[in-house]
Amino acid sequence: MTAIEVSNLSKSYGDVQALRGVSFAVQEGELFGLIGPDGAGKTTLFRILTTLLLPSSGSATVESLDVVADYRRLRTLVGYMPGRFSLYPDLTVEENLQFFASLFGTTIREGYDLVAPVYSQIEPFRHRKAGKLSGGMKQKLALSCALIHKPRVLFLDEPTTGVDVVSRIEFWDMLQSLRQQGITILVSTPYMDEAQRCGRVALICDGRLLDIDTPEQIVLRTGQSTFEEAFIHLMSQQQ
Amino acid sequence: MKHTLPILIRKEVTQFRRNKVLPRIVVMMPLMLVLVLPLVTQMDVKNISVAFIDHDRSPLTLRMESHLAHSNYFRLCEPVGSFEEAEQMLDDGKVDLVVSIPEHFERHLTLGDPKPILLEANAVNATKGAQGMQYALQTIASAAMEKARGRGAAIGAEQLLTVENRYNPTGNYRHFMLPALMIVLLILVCCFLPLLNIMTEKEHGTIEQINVTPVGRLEFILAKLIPYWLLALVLLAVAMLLAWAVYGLLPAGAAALVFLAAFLFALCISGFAVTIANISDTMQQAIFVMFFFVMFFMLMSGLFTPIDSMPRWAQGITYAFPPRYVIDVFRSVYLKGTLFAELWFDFLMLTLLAVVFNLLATVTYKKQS
Amino acid sequence: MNVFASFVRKECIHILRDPRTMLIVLLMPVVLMMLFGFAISTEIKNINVAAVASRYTTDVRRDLTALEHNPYVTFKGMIREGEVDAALRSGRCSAVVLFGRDGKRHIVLDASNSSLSASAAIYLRSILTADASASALPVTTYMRHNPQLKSAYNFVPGVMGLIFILICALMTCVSVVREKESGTMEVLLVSPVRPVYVVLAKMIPYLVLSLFNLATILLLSHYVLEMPVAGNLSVLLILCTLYIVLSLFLGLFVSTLAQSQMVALLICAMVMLVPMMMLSGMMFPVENLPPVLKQLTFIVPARWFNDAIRKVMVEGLGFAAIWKELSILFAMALALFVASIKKFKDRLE
Repeated sequence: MTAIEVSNLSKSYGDVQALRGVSFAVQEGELFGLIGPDGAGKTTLFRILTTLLLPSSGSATVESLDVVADYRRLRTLVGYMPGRFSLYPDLTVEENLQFFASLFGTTIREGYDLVAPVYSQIEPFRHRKAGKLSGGMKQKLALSCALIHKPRVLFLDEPTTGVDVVSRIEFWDMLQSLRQQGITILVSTPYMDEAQRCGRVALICDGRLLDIDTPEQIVLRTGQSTFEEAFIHLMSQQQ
Repeated sequence: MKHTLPILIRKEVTQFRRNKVLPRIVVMMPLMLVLVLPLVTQMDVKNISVAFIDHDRSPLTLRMESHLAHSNYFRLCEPVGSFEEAEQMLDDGKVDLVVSIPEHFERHLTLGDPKPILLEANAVNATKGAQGMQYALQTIASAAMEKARGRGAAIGAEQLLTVENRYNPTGNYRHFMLPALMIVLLILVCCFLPLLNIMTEKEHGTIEQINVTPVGRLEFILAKLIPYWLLALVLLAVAMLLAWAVYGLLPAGAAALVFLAAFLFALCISGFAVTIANISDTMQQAIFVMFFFVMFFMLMSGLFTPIDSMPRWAQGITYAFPPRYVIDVFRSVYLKGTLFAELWFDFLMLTLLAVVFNLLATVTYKKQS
Repeated sequence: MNVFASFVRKECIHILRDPRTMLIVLLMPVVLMMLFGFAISTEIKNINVAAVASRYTTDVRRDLTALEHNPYVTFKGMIREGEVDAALRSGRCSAVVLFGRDGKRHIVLDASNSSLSASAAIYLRSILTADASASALPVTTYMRHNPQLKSAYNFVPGVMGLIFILICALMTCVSVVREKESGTMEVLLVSPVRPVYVVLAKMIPYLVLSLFNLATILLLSHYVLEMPVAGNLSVLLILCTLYIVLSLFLGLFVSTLAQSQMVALLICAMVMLVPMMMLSGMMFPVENLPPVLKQLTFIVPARWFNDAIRKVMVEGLGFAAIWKELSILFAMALALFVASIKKFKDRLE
C-alpha cells in the first residue's frame, strides 16, 4: 500500500522556484531517503508533506489523506522532526517529552514501548534541561518527541546534521528498528554515505528529482563505483 | 587581521539594510520625535474649562468674567444655572473649575460684609487643580484691583513688580522639551537596537560561532556599536535640522557641544546595553531589564519633572544617571547658549560614567565565558 | 482540557525558570509606585532664587526673609548685578529678584522651562506682594475629590494603565514569537491541537501575574500612599480584568504580525507603548493635545481605562458612570480577539 504519494508538486516563493514538478511514491513500511545538497528543496518538500506549507501546484497525499484538504486529520497521523533543534531549552528532557505527549492526547507511559529504544539512552538525564544536552542527545530527544504519539509516518528533516559520527551510526540503527515496526519513514540528508542505509532513495537537486531507486541500482545504472560519484554524474548530466 | 573591523562593520550595515522593519523605524523616529512628541508633552496647564455662575451680575463680576474669558489659561463654558448642575459637570469631567458668585456680591463688598466667592476645582490631578485654582484667584483678584484702581484707590504693589522672561520670552514649552526629547532618539538607537541585535545573535547561537573564529571579541562588539553611534549622530543632526525647519529652533550656543555630549552619552548607554546583553540569556529577559532601567532614567532625569523639585535623597540617586547630564547640556546650550566652561561638570560626569559603564561591559563579558 | 492544562503548565515553567524577568515583572509596579509616590513630583518645589539689592531697606529685608522662609523657594543668597545672566545661564538659579532703589522690584526668570517659570512667577508674585495683594477679596476654595492635593490620585491609575500593557502585551507577544523564531511553532503546528488554543494557554499565567500585580498596587496605594479605593471594589476589579484581557489580546495580535522577537518588540514599543504613554492622559492631560491627536486618543485603550479608573478609584462613582468606557473596552477586546484569530495562521505562510 502507498503511504506517501506525490504528484507533480511545485512550489515557488516569489521568483524563486523551490520545487519543480516533483513526483514519487513511498510504500508503507519503507525507509525512504531524500538525498540532495543544501538548497535542493528538501525542507520545502517536507513542509508541504507535513501540511505546514501549501503547494503552488500539484498534489500530495499521506496515508491517503490530501495534505491540503485533510490537513487536520493528517496532523494526528504524522510525526515530524524539523531540521533545526526545536524543543524547549528551558524545559527538562522529561518535561519536553511529557508536553509533546499531551499535545497528542497521550502520555509517556502509553507511548513508551515505541520510544523505549531511543528514550532509554537519554533517560538517565531526564532532569537535565534540554538546552544543556549534547548534539547527539538533542537529536534523540527530538526523535522521541516525534515518536511519542505512535505516528504512522515519520518525517525527519536532516536529523543527523551537526551530529558526531558515532551518534549518526546509532541514529540510523534506530531508524532501521523503527522501520521493522511498520512505520513509514521519510528522511532527508545531505550526506551521501547515509544514502546506503535507506531502502530506496530519491536524488533531488534544484527542486527536481534526478532519480529514484535503491542505492545499489543507482550506482550500477550510472556505471560508477560509489554512490557519491553516481550522484555527481547524475547532476552533471542534468546540466 | 587588520582589516576584519571594516568587514564586520559592513556585515552589520548589510544586515541592517536587509531588515524589513528597522530602516523604516529609523526614518520615522526623528519625524515622530520632532513633529509629534512636543505636541504631546505639554506640562503647562492651559485650556482649563470654567463654569462661571454669576448671581450678582454687577460691573465687578462682569469684569471678572471677561478677564477669565480673555485669559490664555481658561475657556469659559456655556452658562450654567445652578451650582449643583456645575458640580455634576465637574464629576463628568466636562469642566475643571467652578466659580460661583453670590447675590449682591459687589454691593456687600463695598459695605465691607461680603459673602465669599466659591471656587471649586477638580483636583484628581493635583497639579492641574492647584495651578488652575492659583491662576483663577489671580485673575479674579486682578479684575477686582483694576476696578478698584479705576475708582482712584491706592495703587497696589502689583504695579511696582515687573517680570522678565529671559531665554524663552514667548514661554514656549515645546522649545524646552524638544532638545531634551532628542535623547529618546539616542536611547533607542544606541541602547535598544544594539541590545536587540546582540540578543538575536545570542539566541541564534551565531555568537558562539564567532567566538571560535580568530575575530577578537572587542572587534566584534565594536563592529556592532560603531554603526549605531554614527547612525545616532546622523539622526540627531536630522532631528536638529527638522527642529529648525518646523519650529525655528536653533542652538543658541555651540552646536558642537550638543554633539560632544551626545557622543559621550552614546558611549555610556551602549556600554550599558552590552552589559545587559552579557548578563541576559534570552531576549525577553534582556528587554525587560532594559525597560526597567530606561524607565528609571526617563522619569528621574528631569525630562518631565524638574530634578530640583525632588527630595534630597532622590536627587542624590540621579547623579548616577547619564541622561541627567545630557538633558541639561542640550537644554542649556539650545536655549541659553551656555558655555563649555559653565557645563564642565556635566561633561566630566558623562566621561566618568562612560568609563564606568564600559568597564562594567568588559568585566561582565569576561565573566560570561 | 488535559491538553490545555499541560500547555498552561509548560508556560508556567517557562516563567518560573527565568526568575530575573519574573522579579522585574513583580517589582516594576512597586518601584513605580514608590518613585511616583516619594521621589517624583509634578508640583514645582525648591525653586532656586537669588537676589540683587543695593540698599537694604526695611521692605527689602522683609522680602528677603520671606524668600528665605518660603517652602517653595530655595534662597541661594545675594549676587551682584553683573552676575545675573551667568547665574541663570549656568543653571545655578531659576530666578533672580532685583530690588531697585526706588522700591520697584524686578524678577528675571530663566524661562527656558516655561512651566517652571510660570509657577515661579506665581510664587514670587505672591511672596513679594503679600500684604498688598487682593487678599481682601473674600474667597472660599474647595479641592474636589482630593482636598490634600496628593499626586497619588493622578498617578496610581496611570501606573496601572502602563504596567498592565507592558506586562500583558509585551510578554505575551514576545513569548509567542519566540516559538516561531526557535522553530517550536513548526512542531506545534504539526499536531492536532489548534494553534489558537496554544496561544490562549499562554495568556493564563500572565493573567495571573497581572492580577497579582493589581493586588500589589491596590495594597500599596491603600496602606503606603494612603489612597483607598473610593468606589466599589468589584466594579474596579471588573474594569481591571477587562483591561488586562484586552492587553493580552493586543499582545496576541502583534504576535500574529511579527516574525521575529526584535520586530515584535519594536512594534510593541512604537505602536503601543509610546502612544499609550503619550495619548492616554496618564502623564499629559488629553485636553492639552492639539485636535488631531485628541481624535487619535479615541482609539487608545489606555485612555478609556484611565478615564474609567479615575472615576471609580478616586471619584467613587459606580457602574453607571463607566458603562460607556466599559463597553468601548469590551468592543476593542472583542475586535482584537477576532482579528488575531482570523490572522493566526494554521500554516507557516
